[in-house]
Amino acid sequence: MEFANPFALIILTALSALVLAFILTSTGGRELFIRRVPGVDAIDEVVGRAVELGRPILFSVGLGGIDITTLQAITVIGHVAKIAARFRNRVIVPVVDPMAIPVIEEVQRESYASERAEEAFNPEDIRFLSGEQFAYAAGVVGIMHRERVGATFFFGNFAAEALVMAESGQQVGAVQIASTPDSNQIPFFLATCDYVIIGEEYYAVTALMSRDPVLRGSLIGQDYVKVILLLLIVLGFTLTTIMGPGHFLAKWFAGSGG
Amino acid sequence: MSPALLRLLARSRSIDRRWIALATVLMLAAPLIWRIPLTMVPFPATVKLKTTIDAVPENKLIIVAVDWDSATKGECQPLTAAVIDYLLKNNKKFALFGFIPQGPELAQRLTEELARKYPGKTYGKDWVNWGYRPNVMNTLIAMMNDVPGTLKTDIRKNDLSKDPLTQMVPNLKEAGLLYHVSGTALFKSYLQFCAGVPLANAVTAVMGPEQYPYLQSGQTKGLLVGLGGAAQFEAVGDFKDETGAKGGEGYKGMGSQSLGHLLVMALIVLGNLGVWAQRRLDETTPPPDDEPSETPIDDQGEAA
Amino acid sequence: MPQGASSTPYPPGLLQDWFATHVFCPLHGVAFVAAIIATVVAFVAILAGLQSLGSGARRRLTMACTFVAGLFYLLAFVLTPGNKASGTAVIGGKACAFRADITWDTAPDPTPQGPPVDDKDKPWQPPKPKTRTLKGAVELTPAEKVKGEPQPGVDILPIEGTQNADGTWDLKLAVDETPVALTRTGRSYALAWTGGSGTLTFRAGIPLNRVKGYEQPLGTFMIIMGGFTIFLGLINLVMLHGKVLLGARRGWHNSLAFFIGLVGMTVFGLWQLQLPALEAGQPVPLAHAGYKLFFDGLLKPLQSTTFALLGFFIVSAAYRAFRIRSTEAALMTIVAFVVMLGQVPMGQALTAWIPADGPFGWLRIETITNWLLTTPNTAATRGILFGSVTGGFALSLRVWLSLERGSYFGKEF
Repeated sequence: MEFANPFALIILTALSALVLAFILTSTGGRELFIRRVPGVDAIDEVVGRAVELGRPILFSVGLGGIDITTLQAITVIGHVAKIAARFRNRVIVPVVDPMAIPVIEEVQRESYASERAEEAFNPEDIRFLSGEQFAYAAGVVGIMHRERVGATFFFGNFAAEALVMAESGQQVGAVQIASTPDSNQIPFFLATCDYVIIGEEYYAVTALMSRDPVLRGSLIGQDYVKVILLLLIVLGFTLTTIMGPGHFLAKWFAGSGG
Repeated sequence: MSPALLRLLARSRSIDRRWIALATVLMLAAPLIWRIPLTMVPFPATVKLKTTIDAVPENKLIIVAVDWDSATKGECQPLTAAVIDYLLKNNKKFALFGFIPQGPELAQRLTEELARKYPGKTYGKDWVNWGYRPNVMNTLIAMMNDVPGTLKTDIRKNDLSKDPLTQMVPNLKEAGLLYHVSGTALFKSYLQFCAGVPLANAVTAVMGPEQYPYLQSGQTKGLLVGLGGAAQFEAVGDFKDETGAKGGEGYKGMGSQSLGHLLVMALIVLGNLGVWAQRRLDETTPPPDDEPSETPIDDQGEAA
Repeated sequence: MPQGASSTPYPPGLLQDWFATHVFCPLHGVAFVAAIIATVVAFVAILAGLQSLGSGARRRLTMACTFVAGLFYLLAFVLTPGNKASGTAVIGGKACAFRADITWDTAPDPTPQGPPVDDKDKPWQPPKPKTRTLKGAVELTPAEKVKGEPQPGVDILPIEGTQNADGTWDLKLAVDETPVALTRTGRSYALAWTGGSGTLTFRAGIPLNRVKGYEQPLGTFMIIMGGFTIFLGLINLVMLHGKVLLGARRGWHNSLAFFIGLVGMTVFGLWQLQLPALEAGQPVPLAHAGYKLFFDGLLKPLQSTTFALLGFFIVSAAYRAFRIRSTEAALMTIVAFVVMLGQVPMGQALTAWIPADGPFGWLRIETITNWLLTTPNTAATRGILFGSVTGGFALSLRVWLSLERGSYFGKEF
């Protein structure tokens, strides 16, 4: 869709307002309940396991450039690096997009500094491997075997290289957590990783790791957005079934698809 | 069941992965040496693709978007070859194009090879190659309004505004069909930016499950998934290879794929039998009094 | 479409034509050198300015930039381009509907037909201003009330037009070989053609969207900027492997392979670009042979090999993962078996004896597989997609409004 039609405009405004309203409600002090996700709860434990083994941690942000998905992964890197820094452990981050190097370096440096472990931070642990999908995968597999990583995190957008990397992690005996908003790689991660965070849970990771009211409010708002979308689907197919696809209301709904 | 047999079965719950790799090689290689005659039944999505291509009128150009490279060549090349062969055979004009650098180059070699089967089929008359373009979003949005103005030249530096094939599609909405082949998620960009363009697609097997919602909603007018998808299209397109046998590149791989699937199933059954046998052994052999009972751990580090 | 012509359904961006003519034009000689120096000085000044800012001020600046960038794309999406015109026509006492699409077109390039001319050989010409043109039709009678297909010139009157500098429109009927201009009085036009006469009143959309035009140049700018980041990656790689190689550390031979690959691909890649295309029978120059060795002989097979590893990994992962420990796991395994069998000829052969058109045709394994893929799988995939999209939407909103937490966003949690 090149331009918003009236339906898209209404829905965009309504959904944004809903998310923002719940953020305001949550920051106003109201306690909102969200369920736990085992994969998120296990993040600290997995980092601890690598520390126990005395092996470094590998964190892959997948094939994406600097986009929303990667930004979420970078936030998680900050958290993982902070726990690793407490125990003077290393977090190796191989990347596909060179643009991510300075961002991740900055985040890691701050995490190590916040734990007064600057000396344990090595900028060379943030490595550009290749812009090519399978050259990147081969590089990651090499690092896993050479460094004998104790824990691996796969957070971001992945394609066919996911299984190559996750199965290699399994081979070196690393404890693995995978998280991706993309449904294609979920079966492969389920077969090879100890914990898998799927679909929308990916975007809920930061809210679940913290008790920050803004993030929690946003998460609840997001759930109501889904309820509204589901109601619209029901309304759409009811209208089409009863009044036929030629009815102006049915056409108006269909027009929203571009 | 005798304890000896149970113990033997129990060992199958942790087969060394090197034996698994060897079995995989043998199962995949054997049908390439001894060809097995097979018959492929096409899925409705495959038949729908053929019907969609058949319905494209002569004055409309079909665009074959080749967003793949040598990594996914094993699956994407047969998926591209099956459709291009069918287009050449049925005198449909088409353009090659891609957002992955190797794609249009590999597809050009493939088309030249396939065109040799059909006398008189030449570049510029039956197909044109628009080549690789960067920046998916901007290029697609611009092509929706003006194809030759956006792309300007083909891979041979010919001016596209004077190319008779490109003139058939002044903007993307005028295309008879856009058939997209890829092992990436690029098809979503076409769905997002090419509203009103008739789309069909082919993907590698791992990408398959995510495409079915678009098939049901009619956003894709036909879908081929993996090497099996190519074989299915060869079945509906009534393909014959150089020896006169049924099928083409996709069909050739079906023996290996069949045995590969059977191997996976056999290993899953073996693994579960092993777990069952171990459980029976644990039940029949009581643990010594001075040692606590433990859950057996297999050599993959997994509780069985 | 003629060479050089271009058409968009949205107007040029605010001052875009002015920028294209006065700022983004080729420079030569002293002006070119001066522009380069000025750009470098401006760049250094901006960098120095950013460095001198405190972390709080820098963060606020980042927040402001993020907000403006998001606002730009939001406005480009929601503001109306004014590319529709609609109105009514009265012909023989009957009210008819009028609808038209508006586009912004540049005039065709007057380059005479002939061999293609490379852009770099042509002298630079300032871009021509775009003309607002209209194409639409008056439907004399509602199409559904007419038996058979509506006939152009009888039931449908095609109308074309261009807008003048004063905002008025010149319209003409495009039915016959000789177009007929319509006479304008205020907002009304008198329709008169061989088949009848009437009046047309129409209103064109207001082109509020004066930002969309910048979307494409900005995209190109981002690609160029992104291209430079490859140097960041290169520096990272060269430093890492250089240290390993110079220190003769463990695995130094891998680093040597990296340098051979980097230098070989760069040298042969750039060298072969300078040579004319190879013709059949011609001896292959070293540049082409070297490039072929690195690209076709190394990169492509290595890519295929890594992808082929998937075959082995899928088998071993499936063997390890499919352990039946619960009813759900048993169900999942059965479904997996059906889908695996239904996709290959050997599996399909198991139920090939059931007549496909008979009452038990649905029991054929490929039919069950197809149902599993198109029905339960579609439902599950849609569920995941919906969740991901709403999650992405909420996160985008948080990033745009700088509400996101985490050290990158300057707000710890």
